[in-house]
Amino acid sequence: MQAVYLPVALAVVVVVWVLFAFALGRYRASRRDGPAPTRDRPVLELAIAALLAAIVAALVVVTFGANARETENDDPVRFRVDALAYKWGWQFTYPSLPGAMDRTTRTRPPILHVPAGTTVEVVLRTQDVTHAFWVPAVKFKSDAWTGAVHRFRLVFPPGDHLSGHCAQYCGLRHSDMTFTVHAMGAAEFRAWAARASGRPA
Amino acid sequence: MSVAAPARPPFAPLQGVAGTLFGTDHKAVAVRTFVLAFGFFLGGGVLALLMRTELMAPGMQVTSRTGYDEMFSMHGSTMIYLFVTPVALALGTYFVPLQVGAAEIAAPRVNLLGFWLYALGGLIVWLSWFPRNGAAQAAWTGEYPFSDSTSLPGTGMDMWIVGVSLATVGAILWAGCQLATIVARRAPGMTLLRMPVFTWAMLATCLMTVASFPSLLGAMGGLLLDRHGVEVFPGAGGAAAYQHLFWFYGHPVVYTMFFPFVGVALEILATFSRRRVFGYRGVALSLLAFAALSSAVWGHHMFTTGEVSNLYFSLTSHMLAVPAGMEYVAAIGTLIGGALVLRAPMLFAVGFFVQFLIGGLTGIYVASPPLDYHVHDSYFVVAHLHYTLFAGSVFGLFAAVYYWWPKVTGIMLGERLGRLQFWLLAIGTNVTFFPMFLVGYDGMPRRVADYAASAGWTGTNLIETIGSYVIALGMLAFAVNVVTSWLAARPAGPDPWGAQTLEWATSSPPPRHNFERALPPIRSAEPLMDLRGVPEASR
Repeated sequence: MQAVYLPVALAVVVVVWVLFAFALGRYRASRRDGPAPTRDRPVLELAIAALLAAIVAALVVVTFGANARETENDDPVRFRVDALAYKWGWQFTYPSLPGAMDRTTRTRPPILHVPAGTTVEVVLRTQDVTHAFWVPAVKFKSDAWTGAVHRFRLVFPPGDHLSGHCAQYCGLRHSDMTFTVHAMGAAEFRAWAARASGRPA
Repeated sequence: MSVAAPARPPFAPLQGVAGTLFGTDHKAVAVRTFVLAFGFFLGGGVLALLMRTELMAPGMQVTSRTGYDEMFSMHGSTMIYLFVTPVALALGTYFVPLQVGAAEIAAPRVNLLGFWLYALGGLIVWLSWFPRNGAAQAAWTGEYPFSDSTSLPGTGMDMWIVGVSLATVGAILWAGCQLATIVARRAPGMTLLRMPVFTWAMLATCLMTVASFPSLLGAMGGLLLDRHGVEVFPGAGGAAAYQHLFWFYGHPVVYTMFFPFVGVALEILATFSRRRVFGYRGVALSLLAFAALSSAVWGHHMFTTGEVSNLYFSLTSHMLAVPAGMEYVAAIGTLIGGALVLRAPMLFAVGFFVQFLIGGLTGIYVASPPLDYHVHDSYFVVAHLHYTLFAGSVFGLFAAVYYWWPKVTGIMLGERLGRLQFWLLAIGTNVTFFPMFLVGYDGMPRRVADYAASAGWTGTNLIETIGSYVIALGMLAFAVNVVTSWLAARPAGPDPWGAQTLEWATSSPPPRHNFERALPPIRSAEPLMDLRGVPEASR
């Protein structure tokens, strides 16, 4: 997405700024006899409007495609996380690993354990006000709404310290409502799962 | 019997202090609004500097977490409800009647009531610092359910709701008076397609204001009842209902805070290029299309809620780029072929267009759900909105101030201090707000009082803080300019810029009923250029 939007935005900035710079440099009163009378160019204006509409249409097509890939992702879910947000912390439980739980403590934010490189479903709830689950490394966030359940599927890159944050302002300790994602390779993940659920690997 | 005193007319104009405070002259009402709004601008700006100082380094330096929450909530609320919206509308209160050749605004007492509702509302919002639980802490959006009585007990939040509502009613009344003036008070010859570009911009602004602001009143009324035992927004749908009501207002208000400055900046570009504006009909049409579309884009503030149609709202929001682009076509088309004079108003007007572009283009980013999922509620959005409202609207505002100050006061502002202010603000603005795109994209959430030293954002935040102090220096230059030019009192005369529209055909400041001599004939959108014999534009 960024790969399409950033170049388009930069191109527009360059074109507009160059036109302004050209006009400011070339058409100073001190370097000219006087202004040319204004002549509207309706055909030119319509052509530019059509060009803008075409660029917009192209961006909309790209956005719709990416939106479909993100929201209609139906890859098989390999691992599920139940995430609960509350003032002011997180609790992560794992339905396939009864007894395993990561939760904000008095001294440190929790670690969310997931397998890397495979589809993870997060089922997000809040215990009180609106919060939001944001992991910048996967460029995704979702709100957690009172009385509602938000489900989404993510594929985490490997990393033992991906940062996560509550993105929705929720009061006093919003700034501290962080978590860390530990996204592990297959072998490491199996070993963790065995330890976490109290079974031998 | 003594001789009867001459009968006093029942509605004689008020004189002296009473006239200054209670007179219905639209010009005096607008000046009052301006002075008060600049007071709030100062207050909101001081809060911004305190916040930037707090964020200069990890850890808490200046205030507590609660203090920070109050500061950013009051900063945003002050700037949007009490500063930019009122000054944007006040420009129209002053200049729409003059530009259409009217002796008075329509419904002047309603217009005056608008001012007093705004003043009272602003006072109540700022008095909310004093109750025991402190000022409102629910951001400028009154974020529900965080703003309910469980999370935020206390009178401060209630005062915020009441104050914001009063100021909003005031804004609706101002907009209604301007619409009525445009419909019913235009001078003979002033057809709709001869109205100045600024008046067209105010027409579009006021249509949006009367159509969308009542939705905020619905949200505020519901919230106030909800906080006092009436369940208005309970349960799972409540937050969605609140956000729909809020953002149906919350997006059009962005254009209420933007269009008036597009209008005045285009007029300044034309005046200081010594020619008529390019693409007049295209500008008017784009403003109307822009205003209409503005009521169909609110859902792009709600992509991460999962409660709106991503496809519909991303389509409508992307479409805004077309009318916005046409304003740039008009700006560039006006400059190319002109004879440009770079006085202070022109510098600010060019700065407005050049810098707003970054705010506009990043607006297209957040219109795309897959990108918005990442940048929503991050510092990227803080950067985006400040590029539209500060790098954009505030530069447009200072363009208007430098352009119209001679008309309103009869005195010229200093040119050198004006240039100094422009460059200080331009440097400060970009040093403060551009790095916010980078930290936001990197993962810094907005509305945080603190961040971890390990996050790697310390250096960037320090740069932003330094930038904010440069902005403060720029504002100081403006204050010095106001004082020194007032003392120097260089008379402006009726038309110091060689301008184009009717407000420059009367004395500076204009008399009580705007025009003492007959108006020049109105045969185009630039009657003063017709007077000077400048050939008409071929449209």
